[in-house]
This record gives sequence, structure tokens and C-alpha cells, in this order.
Amino acid sequence: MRLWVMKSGICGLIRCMMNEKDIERLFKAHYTQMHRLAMALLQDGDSARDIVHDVFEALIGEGGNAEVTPGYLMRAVRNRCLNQIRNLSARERIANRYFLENRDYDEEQWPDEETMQAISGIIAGELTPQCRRVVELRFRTGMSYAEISAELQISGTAVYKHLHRALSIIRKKLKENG
Amino acid sequence: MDKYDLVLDIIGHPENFSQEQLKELLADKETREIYNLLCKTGSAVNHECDSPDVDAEWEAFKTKRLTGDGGNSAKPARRIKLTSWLSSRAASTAIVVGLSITSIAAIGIGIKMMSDRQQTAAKETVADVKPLAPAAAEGDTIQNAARQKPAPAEPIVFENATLETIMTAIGEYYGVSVRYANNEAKALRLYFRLDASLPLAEVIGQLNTFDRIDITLKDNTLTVN
Repeated sequence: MRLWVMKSGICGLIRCMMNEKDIERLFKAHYTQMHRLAMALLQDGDSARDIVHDVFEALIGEGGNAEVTPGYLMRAVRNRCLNQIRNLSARERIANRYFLENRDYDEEQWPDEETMQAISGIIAGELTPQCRRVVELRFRTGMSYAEISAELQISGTAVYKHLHRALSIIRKKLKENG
Repeated sequence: MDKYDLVLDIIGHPENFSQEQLKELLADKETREIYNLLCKTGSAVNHECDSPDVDAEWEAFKTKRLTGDGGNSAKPARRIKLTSWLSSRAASTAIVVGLSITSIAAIGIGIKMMSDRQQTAAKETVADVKPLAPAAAEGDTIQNAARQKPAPAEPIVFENATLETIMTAIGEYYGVSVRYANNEAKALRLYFRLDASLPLAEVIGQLNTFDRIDITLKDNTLTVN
């Protein structure tokens, strides 16, 4: 009769037992991986960090669960990242290098560690040093074309050409690798 | 214009295009493919950055989010002290137990049952309630929502449970809040089989088939009239 109420009382207690030690263990075991995922999605260190902290904070707020799996943590990170960018306009998405629509992340099954490694490999192994520098200045430091052109003392057209070549090589090589 | 250059133009100066133009240009299959590839390249480049210092991160997290001393003023409501281990939900559950007349007897019986032969039942219970837990995994892209719900293999059966208990469970599982227009409804007792693989609207529809129950869903809030 009242079994369920009673059971939920017991479960409530079990679920609340997640203490600082448990959180610390999960945090230290999975932070790196979770941060990598958030970083791949948001490409911004601070946002990625906040998202991962949010996931752990929610774990405490919700009373925790004795069996939080790595899969669950990763899904939570992904969902929170996608929620964060859900309402961005096309222009904001482009400025941040996010896919144009959230559903593209599912359709492209992105982020995909293997493709990411492949792209890194192509950048390291298939591009000329100057081309690689342009790619890194653009994507890692977020410089504008004009800033890159000033930094490397090359013309604006040359910046375009390097990025053009980089993208077409990456695209071609990825296709070759299937 | 070459599609690579077009994509480079777009990402270099998105402000030069209207929102409609951007969508239109990127509706082209190849342009979109190149744009997506560019996003991925950005991720890959930033991915190689040094791994974070996990121990330092933990300390920062502890200071900011666990003790509330970290001046995280933007989110004051979210500071939670670990020491208050009795979460509000557990507290409300405790009140339900406390209020029910036979609760003491029930707990007595429960403990006895636990100690004899029903230890497996307790384990099952934990499993039963687990689907309610992952509220941290917010997010509702259709596919993700489907993926995130940890396959509610078996419906949760409420026997002679109060409507309040049932609504709390539904609210938790579907991530919606519950409001009561009056307190009478909370105490209604019923037998209900919650099949959490169904969409929320359908579950509410099932509950509304009871004569005395009228629940409406609006803006992520369930109102019990």
C-alpha cells in the first residue's frame, strides 16, 4: 500500500549520500574528457569550463546518484553545450564557428574524436609551414584576416589562399580516408 | 564565386551579410559542407591545447561552487553546501512519509521486510527510481532527449500513491515543474502506471482520464486544477 512512499524515502536517502569525496572522485576521473568534449563543441576555454562545473554542481543539487556513469556525464556536457548555443542567431553561430543549426551536431555525429585526430594529422603533416601558421593564427588565436596579414607580412589575398588550400586539402584527405 | 572563398568571406565578416543571406548561402549543400568542415577544423586546432590541470580545477570548483565562498555572484541561487546533505527533495519526501498516518508502521514493516527477504526489492527500487535522477542532463534536442532517458525498461507502478507523489516523479523525469491550484488534489490517492517512454502529453492524457483530475501543461509547468 504505502510501500512506494516508503521506498522513495529510502531511495531519497541513498541518493543524497553522494558526498564531496564522491564528487571529487568523479571530477578527477572524468574532468579532462568532459572538458575536451565541451571544448570541441564550444571552442572556448571559459565556457567549456563553466559547463563542466555546472554538470558537477547539478549532481550535488539533485542529490546525486550512486551510479553516475561516464556516459551520463558526457551526455550532460553535450546537452548543456547545445542548450547554450540553441538560441544563437546564424550570425552569432558563424562568428563562433558553430554549426548553423543544432540538429547538424547529431546529423554530423560531431564531435567525433577520430575525425578530429585525422584533421590534426593532416594539418601537421600535409600543409606547408606557412599555411599551418595561418590556420593556427586564425583558429587558435582567433586573429582576423587583416591581423594575420600584418603578423606574417603577407597580403590579404595570400591569407585567403592559405586558408583555401588548407580547407581543400583537409576535405580531400578526409574523403580519401573514408 | 568559389565556394571556399565564399565560406571564408562569411566567417571573416559575418556582419556583412543579413541573417537571411547567411542561411540562404549556407543552404547550398557544398557550401554547407565546407563551412561545417571549417568548424571542425577549428575544433581540431583548439583541441590540441594542453590538458587542463585537473587538481587545480577541482580546487577552483570546490571554492566556487561547493562552499559558496568564491564570489560567484552571478549565480547566488546555485551555491549549495554539501553539508546540507538532505536535499529539498528528500525533505519533501520525508514530509510525505511523516504525514501519512501509517508511515511509522510502514517503515517498521519495511525494515523488517528489508532484513528478511526483500533486500532484492530494495535494489530493484533503486533501479526503478534511477530514470528520475539524470536531471543534470538537461537538454532537449530530440535525439538527445531520446538518448539521455536511460531506457525506462519497466514502467513505474504507483500503488495507492498520492497525486503529489506521482506528479513529483513525473516532474522530475520530464524536467517540468508542478503547481497546484488547490491542496485537495495533492492528497488524491490512485493506482497509476507511469510509462516514462511515452511523451509527457500522453502521460498527462492518461492522468486526465481520471474524473477528478485535470492537469494542464503550459510553459514547462504542469498545473493541477
